[in-house]
Amino acid sequence: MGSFLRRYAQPYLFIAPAAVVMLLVVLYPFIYNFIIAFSNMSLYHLRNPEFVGLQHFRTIFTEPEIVSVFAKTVIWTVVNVAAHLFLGVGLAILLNQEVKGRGIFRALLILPWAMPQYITALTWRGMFNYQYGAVNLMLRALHLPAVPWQANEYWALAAPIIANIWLGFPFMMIIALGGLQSIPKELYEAAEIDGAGWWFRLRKITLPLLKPVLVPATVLGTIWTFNNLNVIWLVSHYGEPADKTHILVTYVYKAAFHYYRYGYAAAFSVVIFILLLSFVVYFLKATGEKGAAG
Amino acid sequence: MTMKKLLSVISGVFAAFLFLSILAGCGGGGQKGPARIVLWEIMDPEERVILDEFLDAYNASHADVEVSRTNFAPEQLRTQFLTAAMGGGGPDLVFGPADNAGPFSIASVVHPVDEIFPGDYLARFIPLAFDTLAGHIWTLPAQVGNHLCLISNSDIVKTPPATFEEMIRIASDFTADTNGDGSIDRYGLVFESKEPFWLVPFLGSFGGWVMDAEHNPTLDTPAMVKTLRFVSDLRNRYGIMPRECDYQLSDTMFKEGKAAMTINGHWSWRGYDDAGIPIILSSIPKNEKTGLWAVPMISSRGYSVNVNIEGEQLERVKELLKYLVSPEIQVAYATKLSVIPSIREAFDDPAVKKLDRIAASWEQYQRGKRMPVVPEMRAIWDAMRPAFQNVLNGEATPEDAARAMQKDAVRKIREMKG
Amino acid sequence: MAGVHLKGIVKRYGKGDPVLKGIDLDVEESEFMVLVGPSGCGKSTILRVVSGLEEIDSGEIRIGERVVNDAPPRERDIAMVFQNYALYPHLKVYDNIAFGLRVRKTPKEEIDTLVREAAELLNLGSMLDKLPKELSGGERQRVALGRAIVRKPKAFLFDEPLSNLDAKLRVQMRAEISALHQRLKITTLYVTHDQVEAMTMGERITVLESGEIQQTDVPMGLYERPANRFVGTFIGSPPMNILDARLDGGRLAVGECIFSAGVPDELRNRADSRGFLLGIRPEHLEVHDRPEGLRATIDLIEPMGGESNIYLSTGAGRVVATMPGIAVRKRSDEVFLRFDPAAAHFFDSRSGVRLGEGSVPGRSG
Repeated sequence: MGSFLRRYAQPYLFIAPAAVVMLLVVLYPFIYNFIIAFSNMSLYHLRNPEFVGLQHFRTIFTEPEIVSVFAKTVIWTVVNVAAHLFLGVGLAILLNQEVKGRGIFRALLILPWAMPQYITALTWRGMFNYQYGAVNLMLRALHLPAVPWQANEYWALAAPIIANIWLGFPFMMIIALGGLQSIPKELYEAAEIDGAGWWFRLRKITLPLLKPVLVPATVLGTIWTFNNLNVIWLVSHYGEPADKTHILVTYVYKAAFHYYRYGYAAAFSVVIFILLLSFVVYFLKATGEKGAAG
Repeated sequence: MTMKKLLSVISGVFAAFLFLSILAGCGGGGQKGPARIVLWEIMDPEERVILDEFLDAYNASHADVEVSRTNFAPEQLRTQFLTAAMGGGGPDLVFGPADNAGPFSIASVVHPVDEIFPGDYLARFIPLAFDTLAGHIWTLPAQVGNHLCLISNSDIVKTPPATFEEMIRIASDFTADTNGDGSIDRYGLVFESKEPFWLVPFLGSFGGWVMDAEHNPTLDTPAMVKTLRFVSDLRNRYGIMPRECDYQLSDTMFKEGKAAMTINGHWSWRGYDDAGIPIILSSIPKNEKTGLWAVPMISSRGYSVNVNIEGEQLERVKELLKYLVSPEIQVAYATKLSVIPSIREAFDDPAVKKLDRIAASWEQYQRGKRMPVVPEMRAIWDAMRPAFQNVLNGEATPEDAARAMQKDAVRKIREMKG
Repeated sequence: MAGVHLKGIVKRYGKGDPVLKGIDLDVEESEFMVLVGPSGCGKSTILRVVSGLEEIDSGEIRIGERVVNDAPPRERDIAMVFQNYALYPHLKVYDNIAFGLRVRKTPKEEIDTLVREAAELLNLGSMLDKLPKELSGGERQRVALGRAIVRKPKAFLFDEPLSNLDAKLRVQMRAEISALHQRLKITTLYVTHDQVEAMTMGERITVLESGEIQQTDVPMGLYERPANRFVGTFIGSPPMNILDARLDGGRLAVGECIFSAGVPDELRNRADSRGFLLGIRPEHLEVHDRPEGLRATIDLIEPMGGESNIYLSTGAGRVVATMPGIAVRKRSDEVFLRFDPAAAHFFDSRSGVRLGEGSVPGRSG
């Protein structure tokens, strides 16, 4: 013990302040959330919450909207992440080639990412206006029918998805670009000499070698998208129409900060946490990335 | 001592110092210097300009206090103040809409105004300014109003309509496709048709209201059905309103002179002035079928005092509060921003009396009805909003929508209280 | 199999000087040709234009009978081994070797036979299931070789394949590659900057400098009859000594020393006043004590085991001499240097071009 202290006291002392802050701002709220998930804390029981056991969890799973909200969450996440990956990797491959004006393209494509989400989301909301929004104006110019982006249940989900795809692909692009640049060009040359065409090289070299960077980026992207409150909340104007445009987090957010249903929202957050945790564990196992990225 | 030992001692001391400074940072500063008074507010930018002038003057004349303010979005202020005050902290004062009283009173995070100010002081305010909940006043009003009026572009509308019929006729005359591209680019009437707040004046004109005296929702009523049909007709039958007409669109169209009339509150007038639109204010017209005027919701905005403030600090805060609602400041707000004063001296001030806009707004105010300040209102809004929109989009009949509103509101209120 | 023939190849990047300034090179069928030169001389660029990874600005590349100037790499049917092996890190050894066959849609059974054959040949049989990162440098290089030979291409291109290996492995792999070539007899173009590699492996060697071929010859030909000063000093270790020389009354003079022996006729025909360069290999310099020849002081002695390198300062410049056995002398000793002018090489002092036919192998007494 004495020798342990002598040996490690100094590094631990250095870590201590950060560790304390982490405990305070991460661990404490996390545990507190679990505790109030089992209480009836709400505006009416703010100072005197009582233990209500699994009541909130029963409510959550019998909520009439739960299936539809969950389905929309899955659609939201899968479509977004898939589009981010497809666009991000595709554009990264294009940008990784020797093209004239590559720097300008690169800067332009990163732009959506450089703008505050809040502003982007509100701008997109304006662009989705039925009568005067840019999107419908373009559709009309192309002699296509205008789309009720904010009135129809399904289009109202499509609108924030489009906005979020626009917002999110640069991240994947940057990650993929970094991954691409770490692939030695000799691999492509060797394959070219072996007679491999563009498509073969993409499938057999580029994609497998991007996997180590794309797997964690996809996991992160999935969690972020799954939990992305801002975009869908703002573009759909808090879930319009008729609270049909909700994913799990916006649903919880509304319960917590609109109706002050703290206990219920905490319980819902626990459910979301368990969902995401299972996803991450499953995904990492399925892709065989046990920390072996190299 | 070896070099290495010395280094480890120094680094240990350094780490401990960092640690302590973090703990100290959590505890709040010392008590020296002028007493600080913190104000959280949700004012519009123009209102903040005026506020800052007066706060600077106050700070200059009071060496022992230093007032600072922070701006919040309404929802953020509500939530964050609740959390902070529950934890025993938070700002000394908050400025917000009267309906903050609901959550704040239930959570007991603010002092009842009638307990910290004597009755003769409160008697200086106009009686219509106060909201009472659970037998107490929770907000000291700094302005009354916050209600909707009819705003007409006087280049287009010579005399504002007095009845719905007239309003529809004037609007129809102006609605047109001026460039002949097949889509209408000029509308007679624009207003935020996504928020039920704009539905309420019409509801009142059919004799309905949102809740009863026990705060139970009263949405599934013949009055509501007629109201929904009427507003839906404005767009779908008379065609005098654009589709998906939200706040942004109404505001833009009216500012560009592409709309004859709009329905909006005092916060919007300056924007129209700046856009060069000559406006006339009038009451939202009378429903010729029922003989009732439209009934916009009225409310006041004002200051609440954090329940954690006591003793000397409370006295300092009260003094500041009296200053903030003083006739001098209210006259400034009234003359510059056309808001109706809450304190009688300012209301009767000749500089205010002579303002046409205040007069028109006051007339509308008197035809309005107080917005309930109970938290149930929030559930009612949220229940009304989607059903209202469904009617406008033709996805629900007024009858179904009224039923859905009621059912949803009842459920939401039950869940909130659960 | 086929020869590789280059005619007047010019290649430039951007606007600057061309990297290749008109290369004419014929690699005969089954020949092992080494391209050697300092870095930046253009040797790797030659490989890249032959492989088709780079296009040429002018000239003609022929592989066998076919002119391939505009053919993409896959149509040239050549194989290349890279300095960093270029193994696919995510594929097992087996799949690395099979990659080129799969690209060409070879039937599965055939792939298996060919891969196992190649693995057998390269002693990789036990490693087929491993990933490249589990292999040593030498093993990786053998996998890269396997990937090249399995396709039975018309020609092999090696781009400094041994420079990432340590010295001992390098010697071993040198022998392995040579043995492989003996067995397979595939036309090979082998790029290196290491003259020892060039001398030990090449059937013929091409020396390059600044995008131009200096000389192409069999190894001993380069050694004994370097076409110019550059080849003379580039080939051989320690390098050839270069001293300023002149004619003094028809006799060869270096520094303060005038040699009694004659010089080749071609030199004698030159104007006496013009100096030239004398090249003498370290093993042709004799160090002794008799006051005869160039006076020199020993700066440093490097015992190499079987022989010693002795670095000396003379009035005509610094030189190195190689002596068999362990040197009995020590630093700062005053000695004399003698050599047989018949073993010397002569170069024009300005152009560096070889003068005369001179240079007879063997030592003088």
